[in-house]
Amino acid sequence: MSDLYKNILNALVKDSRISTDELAALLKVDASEIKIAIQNMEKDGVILGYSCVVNDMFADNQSIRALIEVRINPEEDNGFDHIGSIICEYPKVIDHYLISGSYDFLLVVVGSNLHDISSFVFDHLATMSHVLSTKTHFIMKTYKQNGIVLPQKDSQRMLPVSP
Amino acid sequence: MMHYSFSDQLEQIPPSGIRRFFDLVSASDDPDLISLSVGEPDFSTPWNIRKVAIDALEKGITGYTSNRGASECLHSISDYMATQFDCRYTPESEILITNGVSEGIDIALRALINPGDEVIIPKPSYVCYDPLSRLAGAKVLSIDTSQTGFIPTPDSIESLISDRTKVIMLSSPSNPTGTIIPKDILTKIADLAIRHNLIIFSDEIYAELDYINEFISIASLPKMKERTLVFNGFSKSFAMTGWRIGYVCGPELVIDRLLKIHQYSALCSPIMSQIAATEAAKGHQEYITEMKQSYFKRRNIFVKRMREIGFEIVNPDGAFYCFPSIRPFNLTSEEFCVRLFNKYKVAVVPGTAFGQEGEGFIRCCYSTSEPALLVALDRIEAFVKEL
Repeated sequence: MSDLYKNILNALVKDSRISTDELAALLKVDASEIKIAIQNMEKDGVILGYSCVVNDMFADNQSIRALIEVRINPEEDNGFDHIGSIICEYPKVIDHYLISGSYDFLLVVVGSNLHDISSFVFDHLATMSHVLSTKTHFIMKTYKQNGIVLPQKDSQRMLPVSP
Repeated sequence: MMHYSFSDQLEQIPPSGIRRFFDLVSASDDPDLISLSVGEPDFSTPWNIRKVAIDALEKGITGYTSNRGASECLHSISDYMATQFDCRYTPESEILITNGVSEGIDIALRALINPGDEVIIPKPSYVCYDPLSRLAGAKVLSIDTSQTGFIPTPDSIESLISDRTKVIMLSSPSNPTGTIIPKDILTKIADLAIRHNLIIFSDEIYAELDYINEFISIASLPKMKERTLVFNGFSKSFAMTGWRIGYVCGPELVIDRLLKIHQYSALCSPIMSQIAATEAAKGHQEYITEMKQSYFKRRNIFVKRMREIGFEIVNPDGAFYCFPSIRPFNLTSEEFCVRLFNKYKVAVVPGTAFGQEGEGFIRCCYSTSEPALLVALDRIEAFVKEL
């Protein structure tokens, strides 16, 4: 991947609303080049989408998140992929990784309350064949999200006027 | 009652315009207040920089350094200047670490000025240039740049030069206007300085925030290193305003004289700030790009919308300020700011805080968060509709 493509990606990861013209000025290349590069990366599946980072801890948040570790007994022909693709079908699962270490899948799950996530685990996940065990960790507080440090209550105020 | 008698030079300096406005705004504890009046980044110092200072404190590294500055810090500044701006300075003789740019300018003026020597200052200008020049005993010759896009023209400078002229003060990118002196003008000013044997003070504290071109230091132009003092620091590029650390680069003979004052007045800059600055100057510069990207976006949003509202603005291509004209609204700068603050709780600084040449303008700093900026713009629009 060229440096231009990498620089565009870096800028978009930090702020997906940055305009083509702003990118052009920032990277000192023509806007048309930026446009083509972005189209190419969208077409090739490098850029999957553009989303908004919502503060998990905002006061009216009606959702709850959990990380679920899942141990799997892999299938003879399909390994982890078949069971993995089934788990992906559940909209509650927003991220899904196969990882190294003492368990196999790590899922990030969003539900409306504790019961909602518990019932997903009891009724759907734990009962799947090839799932050996699950361990659910509910998220209590977020300190940093998508590279953004969430504001803390004691953050110092700046002077209102300075030269 | 004790009768105090103060220095005449000090008493002749008028009270600071920005201080007056600061007192007004600071008295408010309204949570609704949106301040576009700050001259500092809204980021904290990057973590790797804070961390080295914390580690140093934990290890008990809390003493003086040499007057000039710690050797590691001088070397990292030297490397940084060479890499970023193509200006090479010998760490042991051509660099002095100061408590911010303001101390550097203060001691440089005191080192060079004899009573009655003249300092040319294009205005509106940063708040310290004029009073520090006067305190050093200089006669200040002001150039009104408000009609020339806040760029001092070589003709206007030359028309002021006399036998007593010693220093031309330049600030680019500029606080308060955000403008950058283009290379062709810099070259002509350099020619003038060479022809009339003048010293250039080049305040380059915002050099990292040039949104359009690669920044050019006047010191990098032919024959200019020997007659330029470059003032820079870590406050703006590395979000380190409270660390009070800057530096002056220039010819050895001049830096020696600055050091002579610095050793008596400051002794040295705080050691933890120097340790932090060493890390900043040698560290990877990724966060500068990030900050720049973020400011650039806010600048575009702010300037575009202000123009739609009806303000005339000279393109602010650097720093994080813009300096819109409020002349169509028939208010003085101070009236405009006080009324905007009282009714709509948006604080912007009257242009007159940066010299009388700033009358008819306001300084807006767009380094506040994007959502706050959008609210401030709505309020400014509502305010001017009522005028």
